Amino acid sequence: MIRQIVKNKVALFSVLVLILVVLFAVFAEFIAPYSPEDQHIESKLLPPVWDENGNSSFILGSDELGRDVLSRIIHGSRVSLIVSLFGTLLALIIGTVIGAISGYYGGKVDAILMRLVDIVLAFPFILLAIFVIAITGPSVFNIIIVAGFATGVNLARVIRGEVLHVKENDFIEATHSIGANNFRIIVLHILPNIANVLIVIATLEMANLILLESALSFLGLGVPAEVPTWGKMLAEARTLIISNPWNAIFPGLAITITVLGINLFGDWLRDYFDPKYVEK
Amino acid sequence: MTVHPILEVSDVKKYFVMKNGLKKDVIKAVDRISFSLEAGKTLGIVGESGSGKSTLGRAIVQLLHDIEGEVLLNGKSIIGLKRKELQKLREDIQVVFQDPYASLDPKQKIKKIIAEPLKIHKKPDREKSIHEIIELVGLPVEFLERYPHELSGGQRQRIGIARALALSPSLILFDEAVSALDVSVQAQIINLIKKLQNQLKLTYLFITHDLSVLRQVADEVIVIYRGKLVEKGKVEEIIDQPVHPYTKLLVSAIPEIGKPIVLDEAGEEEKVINQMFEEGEDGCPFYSRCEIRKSICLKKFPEISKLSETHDYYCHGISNKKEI
Repeated sequence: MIRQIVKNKVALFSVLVLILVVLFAVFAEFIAPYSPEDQHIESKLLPPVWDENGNSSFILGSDELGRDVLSRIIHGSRVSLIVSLFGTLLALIIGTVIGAISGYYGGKVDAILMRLVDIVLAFPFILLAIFVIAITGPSVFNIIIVAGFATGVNLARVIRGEVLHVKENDFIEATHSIGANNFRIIVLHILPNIANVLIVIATLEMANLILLESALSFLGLGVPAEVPTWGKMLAEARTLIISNPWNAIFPGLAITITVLGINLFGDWLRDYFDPKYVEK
Repeated sequence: MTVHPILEVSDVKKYFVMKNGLKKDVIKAVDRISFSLEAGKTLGIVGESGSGKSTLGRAIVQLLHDIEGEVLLNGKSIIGLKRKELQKLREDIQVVFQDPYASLDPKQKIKKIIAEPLKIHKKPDREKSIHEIIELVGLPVEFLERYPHELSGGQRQRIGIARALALSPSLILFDEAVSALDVSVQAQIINLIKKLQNQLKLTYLFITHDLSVLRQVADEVIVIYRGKLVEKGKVEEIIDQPVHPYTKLLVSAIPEIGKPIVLDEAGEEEKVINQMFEEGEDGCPFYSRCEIRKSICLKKFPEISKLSETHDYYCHGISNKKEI
């Protein structure tokens, strides 16, 4: 697998980006030049170092409270990664379980599950999030639960459709005829055959959840105020975007590059698991 | 010489209920079919598309539920089994499917595909069995490491057969197993199927719409039209001396070099479709296409008539109207 990644330039790029982001997140304290909360009032709203007004001790500049943007981006990667990774994982688990059962068994089970999904989908997501977080209080864990649940229910729909499609294949009936039980058929035959769809969905959802987290943080429903996140940095920079665009550009770039890395890696992963794919 | 039949099917019915708003339509896909099959023989099931031959096959191997009637395998009933018993039964009955491109999981290597039945039924010495089986169907061992899409249609169908053989079943159902293959490959697969039958003493149910294939593989034949058994007999009897008007129609459709193609039946198809739903409740389904129909055919499906010990047919019109 590693040899395959090195051979493919796009895959290599995406993996390097992801490794870099993960390293940032894990070793934030050691890499970041300052603590993300340190306020340097005498040098606030600095442009990055290559600007003529830049200061070499604040490489990506500073925000309106004089906090180092680079340090906040490095620390912010933590929340973004954790939320997107675990949120997606939770969403995939919920979506796959509901979708697979609903699509495979059909009939009444399908009708009941899909109506429940309809009920959840009928709630605006933000309303649901406000409701839950108002009760449980803002924390990373609660965001993951709410976001994972809401997107998971959404995924159930897509996955159900894929299962319906795959289960009509002759090889499913052939597997019945050799005496396999339903669980075996779902896990060993249906899921591998919808894996390419799952991977694409998962990578798209990860990117989505990074943005979702920033939306929630923007509303004050996200993580506690003192924890930096990319979404929150964007939200804070919004008011000064005309006079001081740098504060918005860097967290935006961080989100873009990470999302791009995840998507490209997902693309490659899908090809890798497809036996028909031949390396060019 | 009386050999105990391995498979006895009596009065098997499979009805599908279609809900059309408030109206319920019952489709009799398989209607009161009976036959028996001796060990080591091949029974051919013929009929046109939609005649219910695949449904009958699936009903016998218990891939369909809610079947009425009785199916005995080695003298034991296999209808309405519990999950555990059904799983045990799967060791005895296997299926080879029509489309070799769709019947193998594209994400699994050949090795895993052949090993799966062995794994499910917890057989020992899997590695060795897999090697034996793949050689049995005439493929090199290297194929074990390949994926289905790397194989040709004929090779895939050999894998389908290998999977069916893995559990050494006593009965194998071939559901149009050679219909999707081109003629030269078809011949190879038929030879393989016959060789395996001799070698392993297998009993076959062979569903096909192709009478020339049937002549090569089958010992006995049942002819099915719209879910009803219309004629039954040895393969020579059915192909060389068909009596039922539908069987005659089927046999006359075998293409032969030098035989002129009869064109006056071109409009026939449409007429059939138009009259399809206008038939009587329990009449003969062939009525609308039949050339020797009588008024009684609309009301009552005929009783069994015997032409010889082995040759049966179901038709009101034959014995006395034949000469006219």
